[in-house]
Amino acid sequence: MGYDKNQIARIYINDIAAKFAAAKLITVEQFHQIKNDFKYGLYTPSFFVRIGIFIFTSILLNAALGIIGVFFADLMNNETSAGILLLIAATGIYFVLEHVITKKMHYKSGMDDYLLLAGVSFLSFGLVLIEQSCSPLTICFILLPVLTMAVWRYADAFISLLAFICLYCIVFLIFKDYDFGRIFMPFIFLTISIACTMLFHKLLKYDSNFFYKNCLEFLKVASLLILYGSMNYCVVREGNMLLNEGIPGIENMEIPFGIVFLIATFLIPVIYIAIGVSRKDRLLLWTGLGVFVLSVLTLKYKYEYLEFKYLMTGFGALILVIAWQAIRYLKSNAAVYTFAPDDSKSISDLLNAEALIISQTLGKPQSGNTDESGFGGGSFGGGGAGGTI
Amino acid sequence: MNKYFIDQLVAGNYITGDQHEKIKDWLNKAPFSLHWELRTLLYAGVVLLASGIGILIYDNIDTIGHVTIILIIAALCSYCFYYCFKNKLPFSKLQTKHESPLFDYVLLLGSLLFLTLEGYLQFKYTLFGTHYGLATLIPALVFIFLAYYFDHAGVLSMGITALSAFVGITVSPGMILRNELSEQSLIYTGAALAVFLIGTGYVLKVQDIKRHFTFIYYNFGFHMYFLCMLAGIFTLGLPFIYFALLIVGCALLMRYAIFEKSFYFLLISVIYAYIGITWAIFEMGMGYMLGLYYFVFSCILVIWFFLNYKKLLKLK
Repeated sequence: MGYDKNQIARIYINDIAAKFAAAKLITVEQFHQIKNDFKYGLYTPSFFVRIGIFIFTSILLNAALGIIGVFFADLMNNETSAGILLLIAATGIYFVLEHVITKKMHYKSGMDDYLLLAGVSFLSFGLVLIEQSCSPLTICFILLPVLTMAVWRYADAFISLLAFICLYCIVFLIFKDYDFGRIFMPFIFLTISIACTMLFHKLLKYDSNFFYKNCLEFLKVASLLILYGSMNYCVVREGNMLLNEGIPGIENMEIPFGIVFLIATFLIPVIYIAIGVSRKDRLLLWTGLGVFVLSVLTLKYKYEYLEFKYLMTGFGALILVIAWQAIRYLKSNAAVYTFAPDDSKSISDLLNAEALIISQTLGKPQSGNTDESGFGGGSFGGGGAGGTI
Repeated sequence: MNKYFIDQLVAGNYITGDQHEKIKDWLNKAPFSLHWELRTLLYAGVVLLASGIGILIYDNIDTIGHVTIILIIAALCSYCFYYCFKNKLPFSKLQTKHESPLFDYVLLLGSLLFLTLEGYLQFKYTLFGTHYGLATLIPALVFIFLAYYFDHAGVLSMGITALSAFVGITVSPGMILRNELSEQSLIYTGAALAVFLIGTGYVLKVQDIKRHFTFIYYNFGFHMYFLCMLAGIFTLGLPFIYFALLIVGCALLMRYAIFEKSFYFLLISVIYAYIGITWAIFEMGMGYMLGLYYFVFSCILVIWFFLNYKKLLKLK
C-alpha cells in the first residue's frame, strides 16, 4: 500500500489514548508518554485547508497539462494516440503522487486526494480511448480493475465507492439481457447487497484492516443503500419500466409482487434503525433514518392523491412526539443509551490545550504533529458554516 | 477496531494490567449516545410541522375561515414564546446552554410560526399596506431580539436574512424608477449592509457581548462584501477601486482567521483574493500561453502558502 501503515496506526493510537485520558482511565502522564513515543510525521491538515489544497491542485495540474498539451496538439485528433497521451500523463501523475506520499508524507491533505482522482480518471479514459469501444459493459470491465487497484494501494473512500458502483453496473448489464434476469433483478441485487453488507461488516471487525476503515465504512453504507433500493417500490417499478420498454401498457401495469415491495419499503428502514440501536451500530442507524425519508417519498409516489401537506404535518408531528418521548425516557434510563452528547472529542481538544501548556512550561519537546487537530478545534472545528441547529 | 491498538499499548507497557481491565470494562459498558440522532429528529419534526401547517392553512383559507386560522397560529405561536419566557435562563453576555434540549426547538418553531402569522396577516388584511419594508423589518427586529435574549444562533441567522430583505426592498423602488443606476445602487447598498454587519460583529466581540455570534455576523457580512466587490469589479466603472477594497477585506478576514484559528475563514479569504488577483492580472492583457503559466505559478504559490502559513506567520 501507498502510505506508511505504521504512521497511520500511530494516529489511531493517539486518538484512543486521548479518549482514555478524557475518561480518566489512564493518567495524564501516561497520555503524554504515549503521545511522545507514538509521534507521527504525516501531514494531514484540517478539513477546510484540505479543500483549499484540493481546489488549487486541480487548477495547477490542469494548467500544467495544458502547457504540455500544446506541444502535442496534433496527436489529440487520433483516438489511439490521445489515449496513449492520457496514459503517459497518468504515469506522470502516479510518480508525482508517490513522491507526495512517501517523501512529503502527505496523508489526506487534498493534494494526494486530487492527484489520485486525476490519475485514475486519466488511466481509465486512456484505456477506454485505446480500446475504441463504447459498449458500457466493456467500459465497466476496464474501470473495475483500475479502481480496485487504486483502492488497494491508496485506500481512498470515494474511489472505493466508484469501484462498488461499477461492480453493480456489470451485474445489471449482464443480467438485463436474460428473461429471468429482468424478472428477478431486484432479488439478484438484494442477494448481492446482503452478501456485501455482511462481508464489509465482518471486515470492519478485523483490527488489522484499520488502513481500510474509511473505505469499508463507505462501502457498508453503500451496500445498505443498494439493499434498500433493490426492494424500494418506486425504484423497482421505474426499473421495471426501463427494462421492459416497448411493451404496450407497461406504464400502468402493477409490478409483480407489488405488495411485497411496498411492505419492504417500510420494513427495511425500521429493521435498520432497530438493529442499529440494539447493536449500537451508528452507521446502520443513520442509514435507516436516511432511507426512511425516501420511504415517505415512495408513499407519495404510490398514492398520488396523498398530498405533501398532510404527509409533512403528520410525519412532522409523529417525529416530534417520538423524539420528545425518547429524550424523556433516556433522561431517567441512561445506563445503556444516553442523550448526553458523546463529547470525547471536545475533551480531547481540552487535553491537547492542556498538553500544550504543560509541554511548554516544562520545556518538553512538542509531541508530534498533533497540534494540527487541536488547532481550530473550537466551536467550528469541523462545523463549517454551521448554525448550531 | 480498538483491541489491536490497546494490545500495542499493553505490550509496550504504557498501560498497566489493572488499567487494561478497566478499559475493557469501560468499552463494554459505556452508554451509547443518541444525542445527535434525536436532535436531528427534533429539528426535522419542527421544520416539517411548521411548513406543513403553513401549506395547510394556505390551501384551506376558504373553508376554515380567516379568524379561526389566525387564532390557531397565534395561539400556537404565543404558546411557544410563553414556554420560552417561562423556562428562560437569566440573560448572560456569555454563551448560555439551556438544560432542556427542547428549548431551542420550541423557540425555532415559535419563530417560524410568527413568520407564517405575519405573512398571513399581510396577505389577507394588508396589515402594513404597501410598506413592504416594514413587513420585513418587524420580523428582523423580533428575531434579532429573540436570538440575543435566548441565545439562539439559528434565529439570529433568520433575523439577519430578514434584515437583508428589508434593506433590499427599501432600495428596490429606486431601482425600478432609475433603471440605469440599479446595479450600482444595489452593490452600494449590499456593501454598506455588509460593512454594517461586520462592524456589528466586531463591536460586539470587543464589548464581549455574545462573542460566539461574531462568527455568524462575519460569515454573512464577509460573503456579502466580497460578492459586492466582485460585482463592482466586473460591472462598474473604475474597477481597480473595488479590487483594492476586495484585497483589503481579504487581508482583514485573513488576519481574523489566523487570530481565531478558523480554517474556514482562511479558505474563504484566500479564494476571494485569488479570484480578484487573477482578474487583475488578466486585465493587464495576457495571452493564452502566458495565462496557463500564470495559473501554474500562482497555484504553486497558494498551495505553498497553505502548507507553510504557520511558519510564515510565526504561529505555534
